[in-house]
Amino acid sequence: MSQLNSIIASVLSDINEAKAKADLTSSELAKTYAADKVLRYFPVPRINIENLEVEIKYAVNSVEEKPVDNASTRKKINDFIQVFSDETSVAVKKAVENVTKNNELFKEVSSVYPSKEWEASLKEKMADVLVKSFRPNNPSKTKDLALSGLKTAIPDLLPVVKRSSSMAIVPTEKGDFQIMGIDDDGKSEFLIDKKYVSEVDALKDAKALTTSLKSKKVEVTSVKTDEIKKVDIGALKAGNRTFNVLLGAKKFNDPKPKASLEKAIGVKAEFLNQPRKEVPNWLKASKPASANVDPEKFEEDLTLKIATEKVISERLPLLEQGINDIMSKNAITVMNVNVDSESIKNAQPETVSTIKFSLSAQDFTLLDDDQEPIL
Amino acid sequence: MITPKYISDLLGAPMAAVVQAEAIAAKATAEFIQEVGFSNTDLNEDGDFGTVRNVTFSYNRIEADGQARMTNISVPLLTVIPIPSLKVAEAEIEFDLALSQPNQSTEGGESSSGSKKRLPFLSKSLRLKAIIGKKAQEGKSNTTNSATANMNVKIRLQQAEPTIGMVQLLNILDSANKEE
Repeated sequence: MSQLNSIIASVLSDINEAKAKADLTSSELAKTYAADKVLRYFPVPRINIENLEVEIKYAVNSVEEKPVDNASTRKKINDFIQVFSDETSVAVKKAVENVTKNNELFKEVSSVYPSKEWEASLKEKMADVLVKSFRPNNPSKTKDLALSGLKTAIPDLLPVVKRSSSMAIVPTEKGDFQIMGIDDDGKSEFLIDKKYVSEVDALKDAKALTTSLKSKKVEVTSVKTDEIKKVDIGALKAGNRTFNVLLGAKKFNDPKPKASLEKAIGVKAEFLNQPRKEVPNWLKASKPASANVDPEKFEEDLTLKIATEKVISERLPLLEQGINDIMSKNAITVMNVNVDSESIKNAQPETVSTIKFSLSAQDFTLLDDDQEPIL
Repeated sequence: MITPKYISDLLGAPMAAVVQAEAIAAKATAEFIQEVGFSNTDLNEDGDFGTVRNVTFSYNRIEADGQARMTNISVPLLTVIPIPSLKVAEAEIEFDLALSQPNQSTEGGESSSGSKKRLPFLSKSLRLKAIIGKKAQEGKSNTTNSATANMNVKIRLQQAEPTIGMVQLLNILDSANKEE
């Protein structure tokens, strides 16, 4: 089954090719004539098609509305994608902002992230993915491709936090990493006063500290108050290493900061030494992702990803709808036909139709501006 | 079983045949000119026709003073006998084809006769194949094994404008037309 226009185009193309074969024969004969002492004075046989008539019988299989994928439609789609990306990146930024402002794991970046520039980059990336995902005849597939494309592309723009249930490697506003001690609710308890250039190094220290905590080899040696910075600074001795920790503004004015830090360290050690049973997947799935965090294993925190994917999933039906609207306004009626002679024999008589067309000599001649033949 | 061919091959074959047939006829004409119109052709170099074969006759020519004088006239033989020159002025080709529609996956591809690919913008286009079929007749069912045609093509061909080659040859013969 093919569209009628493809059939006609195919026949026209074959006619041109047939004429070219005849011309090729003339061209080969011209060489033979030139080499012959008598024939060289003869005109080389050359034919023109004066008139050509074609009649094709075909069976109509179906008539359907088909979207036109032309430059005008593409422009409308592209314009729509730009607007959609603009609005969606604003919504994503809002969701990301909501996470970074309220989730202490991101508090070190929340003053600079997400910025206006970030929103612009997101919009650009999103528009790029959506344009590549566009399938003119299948808005639903466009939506699916867009979803998987955005799920791959957007995480590049999200800061990554790796965390266990008691510690996290958090990004800083300058792109470094710090180790954060967190409580059961994911709130910051302390921040190790060291910036790591590499996440791997931070992870190494965080794992070492976790091991020391589990073996109860972490000791709070001192806690001092820095009145100027308004922060309590503690020192944790873990084996033969000492980590300085910042207890943060909210702990400031704690009448017993050392006792509070010791308590926090004690709770963590306790928790790490609790016997753990294997939680079945259904139970894990019944709780929020943050409730299933491993006490020792550092895994990526998915809060930002989940927040962005939620926005994207909510907005993608609008993309599908918008593309549907544009494509349906630019649809043409397409006739799917069968020209196979055997199929026509078996087709319902009322579906069989005939098309005739003819070509004249002018259709095979290149004409100049004055409609005179060039060759 | 007849293998379906591309339509371009089926249309191109008779058109090329017309051109080739005309060339065969021209070759016969050329041989006639060489054999009848010239002598000593074998002794001459390539490109030289040899010696023009003339017909000479004498007659009494009346001069201005009223006296009759025997005069010899020699003219090339080719100018006095008709040269058998045939050309196809017009040709009409008509045939009926039974189309076979390829699957979408096998659409496009190369011409059956050559390795030349189609133009880039046509590379993905549909390519139909066909066999010569029998025209369907109203009210009659096809009882033979031949396929029923569903495409009819009529092509009217005409000779393209003659080149100046033949005109040159005629001019040469004309200038050789002399009185002795």
